Amino acid sequence: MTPAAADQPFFLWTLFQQLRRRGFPLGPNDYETVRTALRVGFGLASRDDLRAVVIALWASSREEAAVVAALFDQHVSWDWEAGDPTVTASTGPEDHESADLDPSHSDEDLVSEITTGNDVDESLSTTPVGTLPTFDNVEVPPLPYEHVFLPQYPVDFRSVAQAWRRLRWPIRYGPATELDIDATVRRRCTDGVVSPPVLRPRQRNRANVLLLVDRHGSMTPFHSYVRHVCGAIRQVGRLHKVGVFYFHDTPLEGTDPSLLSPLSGELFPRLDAVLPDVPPLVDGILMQDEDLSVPIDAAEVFADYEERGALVVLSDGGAARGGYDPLRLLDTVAFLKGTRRWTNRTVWLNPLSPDAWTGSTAAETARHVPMFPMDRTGMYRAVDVLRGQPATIERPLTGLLP
Amino acid sequence: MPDTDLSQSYAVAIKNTLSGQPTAGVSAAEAPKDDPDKTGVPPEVYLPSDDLARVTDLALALGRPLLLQGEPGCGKTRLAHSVSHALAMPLEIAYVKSTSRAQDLLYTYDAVRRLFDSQLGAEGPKDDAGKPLARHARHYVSLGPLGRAIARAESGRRSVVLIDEIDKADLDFPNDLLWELDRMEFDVPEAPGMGHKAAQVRPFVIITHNEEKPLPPAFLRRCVFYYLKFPDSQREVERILAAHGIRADLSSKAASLISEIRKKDLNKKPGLAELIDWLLYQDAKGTSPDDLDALPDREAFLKDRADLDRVERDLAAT
Repeated sequence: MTPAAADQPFFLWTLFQQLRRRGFPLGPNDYETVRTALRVGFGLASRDDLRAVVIALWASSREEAAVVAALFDQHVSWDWEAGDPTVTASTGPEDHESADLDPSHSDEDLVSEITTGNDVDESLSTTPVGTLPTFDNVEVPPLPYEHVFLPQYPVDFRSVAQAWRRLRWPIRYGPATELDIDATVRRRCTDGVVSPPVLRPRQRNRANVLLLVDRHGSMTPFHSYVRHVCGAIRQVGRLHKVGVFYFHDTPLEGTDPSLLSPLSGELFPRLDAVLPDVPPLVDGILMQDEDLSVPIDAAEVFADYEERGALVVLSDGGAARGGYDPLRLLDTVAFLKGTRRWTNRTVWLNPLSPDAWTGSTAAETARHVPMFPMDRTGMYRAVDVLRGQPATIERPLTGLLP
Repeated sequence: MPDTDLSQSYAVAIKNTLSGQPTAGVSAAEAPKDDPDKTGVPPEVYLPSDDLARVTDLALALGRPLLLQGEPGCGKTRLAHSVSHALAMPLEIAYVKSTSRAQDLLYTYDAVRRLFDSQLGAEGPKDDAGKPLARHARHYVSLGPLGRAIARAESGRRSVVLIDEIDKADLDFPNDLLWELDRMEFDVPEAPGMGHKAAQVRPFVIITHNEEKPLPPAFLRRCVFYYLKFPDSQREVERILAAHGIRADLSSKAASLISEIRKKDLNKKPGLAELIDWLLYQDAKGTSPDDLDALPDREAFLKDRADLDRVERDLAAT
């Protein structure tokens, strides 16, 4: 190793750090494995060979393989034929930026134009410029590597899965395959004669979850995050049945607005006075697809999840724009009342943090239904509520379950 | 962390096999005598890409499970057969079902039969010494595929274990296997002393995965990963077809047809296995390369109604 390379980290270490920063579950053991593989002679034949070894040992899916490959190209940029790799191993994109993207020589005209603009008169806030500055059609040299963009959500796949796996409703069902020792012994004792063994079905999780997702409008920025969370719950939540349906603003609509007339004197009316009069809303349509184009009868969906079902609403509840809409609140409360006919386990997950709810419809909704932010702790608390822990809310919609 | 073991190389062995040499070399010395019934893995027509052979060697050397992902019909399962034949290692197959439990791979304990036998008392089945079988639990324990492989490794012989379509099982399945795959040892709580522990050699585990469910990260960490792609060059497809004994003129025509078919926007792209079956049939029928353009018997590889319609429309248009 030459002195110049001595203060640069080993390229494998740089790559390892980069992957760890991107949430790859790699430990010292994995690092050691690659070194061991190199030591016994794997990955030394060519650059592609080395890359294949690193991918085989550090990636565990096709997507991860693409990320490792891209990062490998970015950080291992030496010439394979040149010999000692540590001499020219780069430490990261910073190097390239300074070398290849040096703007000084190409944009000199522009820079001078801006400086002359400042010189004219400092007392004037605006300076008339005759024409727009012209840009030379400068060829920017292509980067020698690809950028790797990975979405980083407030909650990673694994945490969502961990939170939702706690939602269990174990029930024995299916074919009887397990030996029930207690029952067999009991039967033997009571009958006193040789009797066949008693079998019972295996225990499985029968918890069902219905996810209702708000789409479009103020929820647009959160689409990919919500999709990430729903996907994680669906794939690794290990629940019996997970349904995802979509709506816009309020799950169901159509409550009579005249119910609000007694409150017309107030600027930000609370529903408490008319709460008992709000009729439960059960009829309406939900959407089966993200584009809100395939309708399905809501009653049909609810009937499907009636047994051991939990309801999760994923919506900002009006907090993203911060407005207060009594009509929206009325519809939401009527809908929540309606859902109590088939489940009393309902939570609301809000992609915005609680301090953003203040003063909006969401804050009012949170008085009637357990609402949690869609982060790690929020999701754990939401699952706790679905597991039956009491949640403290200001005006729960009680006593409506038949 | 097990020692790296470079004594076996699949890349070398498969080259010998393909070039017609007997599978001697690496494996003649240890040509198995201990359990002759396990040696008869039939020869497998299999042309691994250089990358795949290299990654297989890497997994073999590090003693880690090899996790294979890829489109259906690209030869994930066949690799295990090929490795087993090329290196003359016994093959143990575990086809995972939705009801599989991790323990089944190691051993099964037939409690129900033991109960029956014990209820018969002195009338029940007896062992060689004339004692009732039900006295000892070990008579009711039978080893599973991984269990047999570990037991064999204990006596110094390596085997290939294929865990096919691991994602079909419950999510607990891979998690329950972590310890056993890491340490290659297990115990039988029902019959103490029946456990096994791999000593010098470790069984070579190949796991196939269809991406139906993601696997737990803790499990993935311990594997060597490879994604099996559809062969990307026509030449390679031709070589594979030729290896399966398809006529040269037919296979060169078919290779270009296949790349065309796969370029179409199909719902379900045909896998290599289906295409080979289809071509073997055409070969046997004596179809001429020109007749292949009309894609006769295309139902063999198009399994979706919309795809069939689309291909028919395209054919009518040309």
